[in-house]
Amino acid sequence: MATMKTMPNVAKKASSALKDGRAGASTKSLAASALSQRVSPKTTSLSQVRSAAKTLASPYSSKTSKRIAENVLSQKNLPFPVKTYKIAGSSLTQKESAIAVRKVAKKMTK
Amino acid sequence: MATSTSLDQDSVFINCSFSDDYKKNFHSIIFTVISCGFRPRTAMEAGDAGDFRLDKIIKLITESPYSIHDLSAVKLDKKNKLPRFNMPFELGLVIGCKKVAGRKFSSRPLLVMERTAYTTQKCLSDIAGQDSLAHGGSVARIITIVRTWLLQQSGRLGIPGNVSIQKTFNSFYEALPTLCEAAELDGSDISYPDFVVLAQQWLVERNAESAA
Repeated sequence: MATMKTMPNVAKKASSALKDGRAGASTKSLAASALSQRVSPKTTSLSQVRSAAKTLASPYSSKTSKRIAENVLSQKNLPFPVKTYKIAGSSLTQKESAIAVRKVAKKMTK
Repeated sequence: MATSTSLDQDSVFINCSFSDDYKKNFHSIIFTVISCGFRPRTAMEAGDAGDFRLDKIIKLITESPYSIHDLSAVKLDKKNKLPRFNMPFELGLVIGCKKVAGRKFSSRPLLVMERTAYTTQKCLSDIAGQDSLAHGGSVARIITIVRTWLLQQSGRLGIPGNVSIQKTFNSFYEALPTLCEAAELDGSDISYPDFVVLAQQWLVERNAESAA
């Protein structure tokens, strides 16, 4: 779930899509979702994320709706679904790399 | 030929230049792939020293359901004034597999990137009709293209936003020399496996920080 506000450039695109007579219903719905986050820092709901992902994947979506969908999705602030795995040839173990990263992260936050 | 190969649903075969002047772009692709929950696979992975490079590449292609090809570094070599054909060749291998190796390969998506729109079609007209995306050499654009493509093709919902990946990549890249120092590595010439391990750990730590 996102906690970020809509960026001004996204809001501009969304508002022009709302005014565009040729834009489809799903484009307008996405544009409205994007704009609604500008008024108050609401989070992107799972249904909005699903709808945006569907719009992006569909070969029938217009360029405008794809751009809006991409912008709606780009505001997500999810944890990284990173998977750790052993990689042949690395001179570092996971433990050693964790120690190095923590050391540097600590320095950076000071 | 490579022998035992099995499809790994997270593997993404990356075909791009490994040269020094392209390093940051290459690193940004690797970082984005890891950030999105996938596993980057490149010919730089350490393997059996007895493996032929081509066998290794075919093994990686066979194991990877996704492939990313950045042809932006296909240019004349400064020393011998000849272009590097490795990247178009590896793209050809993947397209060949899609076309003739049966159903197992035909549905595998591939992403083609170039520096300026339509340049690839000028020197590789056989792939006309194949969509390619121009990134203009911008790391931010590369991250957006790779992340959006992985999201579209995989249909996975837990993929973070491109802004978040860009910010995390920038902070990681800024900290990389210090990280290498802390890990007693040569920061100016970090190996591919060490880069992957550090990137994974950076993201794990970032998740832990956000959760705290």
